[in-house]
Amino acid sequence: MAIPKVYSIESLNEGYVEKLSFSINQDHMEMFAQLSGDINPIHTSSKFAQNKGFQDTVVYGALMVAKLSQMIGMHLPGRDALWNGLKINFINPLMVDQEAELITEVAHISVATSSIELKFEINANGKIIAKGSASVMIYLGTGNTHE
Amino acid sequence: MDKNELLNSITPIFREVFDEDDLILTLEMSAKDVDAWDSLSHVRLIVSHEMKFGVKFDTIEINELKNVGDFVELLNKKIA
Repeated sequence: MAIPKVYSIESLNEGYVEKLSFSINQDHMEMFAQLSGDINPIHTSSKFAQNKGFQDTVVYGALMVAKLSQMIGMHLPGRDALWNGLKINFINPLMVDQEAELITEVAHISVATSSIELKFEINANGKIIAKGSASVMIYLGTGNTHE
Repeated sequence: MDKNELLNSITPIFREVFDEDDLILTLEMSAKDVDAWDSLSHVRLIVSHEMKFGVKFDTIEINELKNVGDFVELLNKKIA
């Protein structure tokens, strides 16, 4: 089982970048359709998506947000993250099984509030799929274990 | 910058953070006067000002603030 990284506010620098490669497969799509109840045909029917001008079914935007959750909770800042804000624009569609990369940069560090602002971009095939920002506190609780 | 001038320029940030389009910000106002002013919105408030004005606050400065007037005074010193 993967162990989250542990970044403190003092150990980060503005401009620091973490990257995560991913792709969303058909199983992920079906699991999310069941979980969310969103069975809009743009995500579930190739024929419908193609009639709308897309190559194939379009990946749920929320599944890209799920990868951002992985980034924040596991990588940047990792274990002590408390995610408290998100702005995102979906710019181009991501297709099922398409290789994508999430690039996340520390845009601002606020020592006074023990929080960071992250800028992120999701790219695939040289195109920007989504971009935005996330606000994350680095929680200063007493827990120091993974229990 | 004049206190009231600065108050006017930070009002849109307070309105956005508290999601209150008609919030009238005063120098005497404090967290007890705004329902939405909780610990998380306080963090957003501080970070938004740091980013808009390109300044950094420290923990002691923030903990000493009693009202918006104190904050305006601190911000004014930072941007001077």
